[in-house]
Amino acid sequence: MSTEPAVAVELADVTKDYSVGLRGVRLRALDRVNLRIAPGEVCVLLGPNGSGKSTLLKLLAGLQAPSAGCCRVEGVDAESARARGLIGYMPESPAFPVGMTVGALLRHYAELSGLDESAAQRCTAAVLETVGLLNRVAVKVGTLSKGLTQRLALAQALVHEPKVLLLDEPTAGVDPRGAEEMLALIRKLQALGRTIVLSTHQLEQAAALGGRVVLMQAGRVIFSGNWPDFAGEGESACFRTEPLSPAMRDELTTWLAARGHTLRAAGGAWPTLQARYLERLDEATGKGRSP
Amino acid sequence: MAQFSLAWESCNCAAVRFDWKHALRVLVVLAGGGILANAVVLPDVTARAVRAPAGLWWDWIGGLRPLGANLAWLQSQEAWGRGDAAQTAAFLRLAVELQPESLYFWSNGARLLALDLAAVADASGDSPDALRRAGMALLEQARTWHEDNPYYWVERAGLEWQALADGGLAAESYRRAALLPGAPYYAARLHALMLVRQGRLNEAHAWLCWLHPQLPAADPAAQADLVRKRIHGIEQQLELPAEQRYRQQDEL
Amino acid sequence: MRRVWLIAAATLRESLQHRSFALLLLAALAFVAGTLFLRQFNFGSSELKFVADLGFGMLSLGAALLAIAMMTQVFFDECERRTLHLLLARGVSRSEFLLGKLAGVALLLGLYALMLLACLWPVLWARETALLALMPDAFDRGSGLNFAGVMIAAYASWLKACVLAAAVLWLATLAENRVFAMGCGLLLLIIFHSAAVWAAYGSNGGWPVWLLHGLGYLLPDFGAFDLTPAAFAGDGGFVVRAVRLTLYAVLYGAIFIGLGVLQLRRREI
Repeated sequence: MSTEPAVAVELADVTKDYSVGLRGVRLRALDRVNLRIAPGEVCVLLGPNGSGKSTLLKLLAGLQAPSAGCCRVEGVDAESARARGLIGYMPESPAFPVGMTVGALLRHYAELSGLDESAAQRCTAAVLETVGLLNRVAVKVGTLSKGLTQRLALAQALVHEPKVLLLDEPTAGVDPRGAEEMLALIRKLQALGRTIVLSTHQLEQAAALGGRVVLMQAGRVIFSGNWPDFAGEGESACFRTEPLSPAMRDELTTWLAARGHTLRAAGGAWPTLQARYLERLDEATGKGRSP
Repeated sequence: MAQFSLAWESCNCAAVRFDWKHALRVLVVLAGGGILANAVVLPDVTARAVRAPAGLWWDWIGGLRPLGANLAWLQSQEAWGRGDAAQTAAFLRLAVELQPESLYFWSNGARLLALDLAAVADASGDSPDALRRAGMALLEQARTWHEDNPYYWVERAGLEWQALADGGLAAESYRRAALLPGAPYYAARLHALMLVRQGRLNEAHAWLCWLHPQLPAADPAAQADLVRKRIHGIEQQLELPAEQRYRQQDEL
Repeated sequence: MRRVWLIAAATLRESLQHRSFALLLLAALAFVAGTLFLRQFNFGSSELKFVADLGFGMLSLGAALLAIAMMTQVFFDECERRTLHLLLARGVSRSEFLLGKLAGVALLLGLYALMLLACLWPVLWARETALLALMPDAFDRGSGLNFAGVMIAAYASWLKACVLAAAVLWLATLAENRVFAMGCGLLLLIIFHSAAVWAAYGSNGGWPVWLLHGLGYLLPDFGAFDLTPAAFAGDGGFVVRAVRLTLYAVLYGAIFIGLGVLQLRRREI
């Protein structure tokens, strides 16, 4: 019988307020967020800058405490000491001491995670192999490219073999090939059964990971579901037609309306993920977009 | 309160919001720890303040106080070279204010005033007596810092003897020096010498008889044989009968 | 404690690579070696005291500046590089982090003090030997060098720099940027050196007596750490004083680290 909890990551009515400025003006970064992520699931956090993605990840990493509600990782409070061993956290674009070698840096983080020297050595070698940095073990961190530094950042999150990975924009500032390699690594980790929560702005690449997508805006979750639902594939259909004149388009709109459908777009390509993303954000703010 | 918060905010350098509760907590921690540290662990911090408040202003220049003292000392030497007694005294005072813990400035400064400058006072138009008094006054001030230092009393005795020509005072100062831990052996011998010079032979004899058994024979600086000879010399001067003469334990 | 040591070792390694450490150390060493030229002035027996005062002055000032510069540097480096996030996320507590950083800088300061002492001691010894050859009775009044005393005086300077580093670390947890923290650190250096002045002003009946006298009690008194005269006297009294100073420094170190932990909990990271 498995002892795995049914929920790997859980946020229940989580609110996080920041005091902005020294007079303490309150800014709500997260507003009653509820989220449950199953073990082994990949959850992609989407949303514009300032929507609360990084805050959510910091709360799960135990770096900050929620103002209200609770965050749990594998059933334990995210701020507790026990949760620390369960999560691996990769912040957005971290920089490492340039004078250390890749191997020494990872051993340092492994030992800080509570591993003894021999275990740290073993885990370092294993994780370097996983992220493809084994041939750079003696290389100084300062000489690594941005893409390799991001891989190193992922390696430090993995070095103590956590069950849950929290990745804050793992492909930020990385060239397309580097981003693709990073996503391949994430897929590899997913295949190994790790629960992964990551934030990104790279929609197409994130969609390739599959799993769950959570769209956030102004601290609220405005969409949570799978990628096909996010893309609207279940609720829309696409037909290829001859070019439509304005009169034909009006006629088609009337015809569809009589049958209970809406013409979302005409005369262009199928809405891209980015278009759906923007559309959903506008819907949430009540702006709406003209078809 | 609002203005204070606004001022805090406008400096835009603090990463945290001003919070009176937190500020109060900081003050309480500092007060509790500070009182424990300053009143229990190192109570002489405030004692120091009461002892020499004027010199404490120089604490502003921090760890460079001894450097400042050395510079003031160099200036005093330069003023002495010009025969300017007033400036010499002023720089000497500055040097001792900056580093009162160092006996060097006190003793050499006092000697400079009471002996060197006083010796050429007539030529420069200063009063030798006033300079001698100034030198002794400087040493008297040093007492608050160095009363437990035998070399302070040795220095003082030297000036009382050489500058004031007062053997009685010098004898007393040498006695105080000799009784302090770490005193040089010669302080006790000089005390006896001062007594002899004043004709207080019985006192000198008693002192040396008390001193001699305590001197280590193996230490040449102690000069136990010299002291023994001095005892013998005083006994001859006093024409003491054999039974009243000093005998070592092994002679008994 | 293992984590504290790991952070301290990493901090020391990293600080040693900072150019400011090398520059300050070289400047101090050159200055101490330069005191050999004092013999040109023919000070006589007082030359030894001059050399010691200059050497300890450099030790005290250099260690204080190093404490301010390095403490702010290592703290803000961790914040700005986001490596602080990595430490806290893997269970390093805020107190372990601050203690590790302080211990690392304290080790660096110790290294600085030892290297300066390694340069100062031969200079002092050489000059004492030379002066004794010229004037055999030059140091017969307790003004000769005392090795234990020199060590105690250097130890007291190191303790002072460590207390300052702890105070600067507390400031850094409060400050938005490193320039502000460094500026305030320099101000603290002056304020802590004048703690006795506050007390003196209070006891002399100045205004407002209670406030100034109170400040004299609240803040560490850096004047108490000046044990330069021990280099020449070196009696047992200085050993007792050094033990009490150690307690004093540990107490203030704990106060500032405690305040830093409280502050770091409030800081959004």
